[in-house]
Amino acid sequence: MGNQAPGKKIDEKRAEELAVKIRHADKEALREFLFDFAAVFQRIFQRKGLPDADAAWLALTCAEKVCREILAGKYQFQREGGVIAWACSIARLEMIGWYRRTVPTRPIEEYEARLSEKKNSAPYSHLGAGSNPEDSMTPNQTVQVVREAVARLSPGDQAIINLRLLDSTLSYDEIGVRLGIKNGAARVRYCRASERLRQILEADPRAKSILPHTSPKPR
Amino acid sequence: MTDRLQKANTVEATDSVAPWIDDLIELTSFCEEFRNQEIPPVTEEFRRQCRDTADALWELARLRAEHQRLEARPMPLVSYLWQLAAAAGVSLAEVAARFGIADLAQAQSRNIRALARLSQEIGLSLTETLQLMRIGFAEAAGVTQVASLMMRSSGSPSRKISADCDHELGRIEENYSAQQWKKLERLKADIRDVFTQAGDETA
Repeated sequence: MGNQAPGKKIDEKRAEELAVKIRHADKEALREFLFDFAAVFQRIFQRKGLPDADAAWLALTCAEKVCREILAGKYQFQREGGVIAWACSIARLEMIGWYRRTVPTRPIEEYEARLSEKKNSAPYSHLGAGSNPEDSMTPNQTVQVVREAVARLSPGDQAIINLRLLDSTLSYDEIGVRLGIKNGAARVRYCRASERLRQILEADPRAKSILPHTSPKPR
Repeated sequence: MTDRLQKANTVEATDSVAPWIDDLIELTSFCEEFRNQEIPPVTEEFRRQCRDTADALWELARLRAEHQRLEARPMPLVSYLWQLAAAAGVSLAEVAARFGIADLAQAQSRNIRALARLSQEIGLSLTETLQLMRIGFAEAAGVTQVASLMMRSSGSPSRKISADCDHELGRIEENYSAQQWKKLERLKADIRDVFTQAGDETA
């Protein structure tokens, strides 16, 4: 099972081809797609600190959900523009759900705070795949807009944001070590860089649908 | 020194990341991580689970396609599922087992929630599921009109569940005892609950 042998990355074009075949109930394509995506999800979840058994279970759940939605015709090939970003948005939401259900006692106050903010406001709903109204951006477009916005930041800001883009589990301590600065400075620099990223995104008309409907925070 | 510390604390307190920005960065980060990740070697157990999951999805897809082709006929829910499975060449017992249904014959009375989940997964609407369950309930209660209702409907050109069938069931149910009525209402509530939880728009 799995034409893309271990050691290779999942190719967007191949993933898209498999998704098309899955839509037409091709059993082998379904097996290959589900295996490849589950294996990669599992590794990502392990890296994010999930216990092995939970990472395996959650990865399978995510891959199953992605395949289920493709089978049900919820992945719109022309509109979404990329099955990987779409699948990642599903997996990320499942992972957040896992955190919410299973690790309330762990030191994830920052994460929990964010989740409760999400719970009380609709603006983040666009990040959930499968729920995109016609006028909102697909996960693939969202990722593209964010990458372009990051590219417009100063090299210093890009460095710190890219550290988070490469590994969202990095703490401010680790970011500080990589940049040769103190923990507090890393935090302030990250916050300021993301504030400038916010301003760039707010000025981008394409990003209108991914911005929250609330006014900018007072400074 | 104290002033500097206060100033630093103030800077830190006001410098917080807008949650939605962090959300976007995290989504982008997740995608980057995925794209850069090579397919890792996995255990045989994980590989087997992937295969079983894919096969289960495929069988459900076959049943769903068959349901779309046939459309629900007026017959007991479990009988309809057997008919779909036979037409699709799928082992219904295995599919049902994955939903926690060990004995399909008893599923309507003992495990209606699992049966409702299976029906929903196959693509039956809430209305269809409720109606087929009501037919099965009437049949189990020994109501003789059910057989004629099924016969009449099988001869109808549309073969679909009709408003007539619903009307007929309503008349049958008027004669139920209070206990039967209560049991039927509980089954209906369980089915509605399953469909609502899954976000079914018709629920």
